[in-house]
Amino acid sequence: MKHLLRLAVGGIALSALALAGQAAAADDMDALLKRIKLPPGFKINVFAKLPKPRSMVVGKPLNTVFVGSRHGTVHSLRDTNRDGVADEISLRGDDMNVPNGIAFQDGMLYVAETERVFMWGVPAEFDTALPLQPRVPVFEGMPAEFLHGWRYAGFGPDRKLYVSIGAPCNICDLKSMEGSIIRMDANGQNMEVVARGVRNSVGFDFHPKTGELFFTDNGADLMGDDIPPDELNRVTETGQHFGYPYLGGKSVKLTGWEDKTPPKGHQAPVIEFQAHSANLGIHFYTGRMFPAEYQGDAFVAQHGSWNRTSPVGYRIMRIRFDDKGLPTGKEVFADGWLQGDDASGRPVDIKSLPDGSLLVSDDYANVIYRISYGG
Amino acid sequence: MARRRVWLGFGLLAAALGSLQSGPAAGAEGDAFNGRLLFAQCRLCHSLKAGETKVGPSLHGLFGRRAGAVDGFDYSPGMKDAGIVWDEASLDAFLKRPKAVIPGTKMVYGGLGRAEDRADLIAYMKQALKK
Repeated sequence: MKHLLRLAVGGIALSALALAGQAAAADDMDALLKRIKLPPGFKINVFAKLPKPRSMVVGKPLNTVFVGSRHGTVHSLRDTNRDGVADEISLRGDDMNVPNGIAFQDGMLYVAETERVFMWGVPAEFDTALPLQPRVPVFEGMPAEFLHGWRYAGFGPDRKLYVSIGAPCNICDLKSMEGSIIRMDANGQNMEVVARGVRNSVGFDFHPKTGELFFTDNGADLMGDDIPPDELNRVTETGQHFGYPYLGGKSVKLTGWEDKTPPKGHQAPVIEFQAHSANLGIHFYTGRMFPAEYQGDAFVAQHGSWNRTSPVGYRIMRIRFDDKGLPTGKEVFADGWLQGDDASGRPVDIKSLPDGSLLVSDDYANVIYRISYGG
Repeated sequence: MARRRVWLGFGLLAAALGSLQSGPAAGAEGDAFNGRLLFAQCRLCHSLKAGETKVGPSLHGLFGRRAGAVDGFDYSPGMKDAGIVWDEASLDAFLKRPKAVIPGTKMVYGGLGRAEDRADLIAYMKQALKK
């Protein structure tokens, strides 16, 4: 009798330890959130927990958030009771080929995998359990290489679908669509190259007044801790060249291309970021929640360095814009994911909810945060 | 009455042990699918093909090899004298923070802080190096 009791108590103790493990994970997230520094009046909470979330798009009219990843999955999230936390998190598919690009227009979800874009029509009777089937191919034939094969996608004010295509290497000559941003009609027709000489862009957005395309670009490796810088670029004409592989940043000649002349008329970045900070999602703020000074400014997610002597990034930057639609400077908006040499999270993409709060995905902490103001 | 108590005890024990089991320490295999993405970083400097030197030595034949043993590669003194044989455990320790394990290593890589990430990476490497 005593023996059995001891066994039962031991079992309870061990299961208490396991539950404590889960509670510890929740404590870790609370501790992480407390370390995030934001300007006065701003708050951050966890909107959703899901594995390795990357690019996001908010669909209309139900405000469902679709989330892509580099791990085969697309999820959808809904906050049905508007309490600032997603109450429905649904896996919509787990067999896609690096579905990092995700966009939405006219009731249709577009997913950019490595080699193709497909479209899924959102049914009128919306059901968050439905898998993304059938997947209607929209555009095929993008480069197949895995390296930098994680596309970014988004619709422009011209209602065309823009997709970024990274170079399949660190520093190399480019063939075909490699190292570019392309756009196409929503049905995949009339593809054209909008920007060339782009090493690896995993984020772009359109200025709310001028409609101009601004994109981030990740700088080359193996040239030390501080060069070349990461870039923010502005496209003023279709087909402009942005310097890669000849140059990184405004003027750093890349390894192996020092003696080669960059194309005439190539464009310099409008903003240079710290090398290796990994600038990904950029999002122009047009919501009504944040103070008026934020209107038309952009937020940029810095994923953080992976091969720098001491780490940098792991934060959200704010890029101020003037009323001509030109960037005037950069500053830190939110940080605290990096403490000393230890990182607890890595921001990836940024989008606004209709209430003007910001969603920020983090594929290291495996959460999507919501940043709100006031209230 | 007694029988019920036994099941309760064993049930709790089994459940608790099941939920405690995680990561390489418990013998669970890593996720090679995630490992492949993590390995994209390693590819910058390392080839998996025999004899192909990049910034770093080829990783062909890595498992079971002594550290600093690839012919012709100019290793740091620390790596040459490390006395390590590469296997899952030693790789796990090294990849957590390379310069802590081999001070003066030429490998410019901060490390993978998470045990699950290292397990995933090692699982992918085992798979990739089998060919």
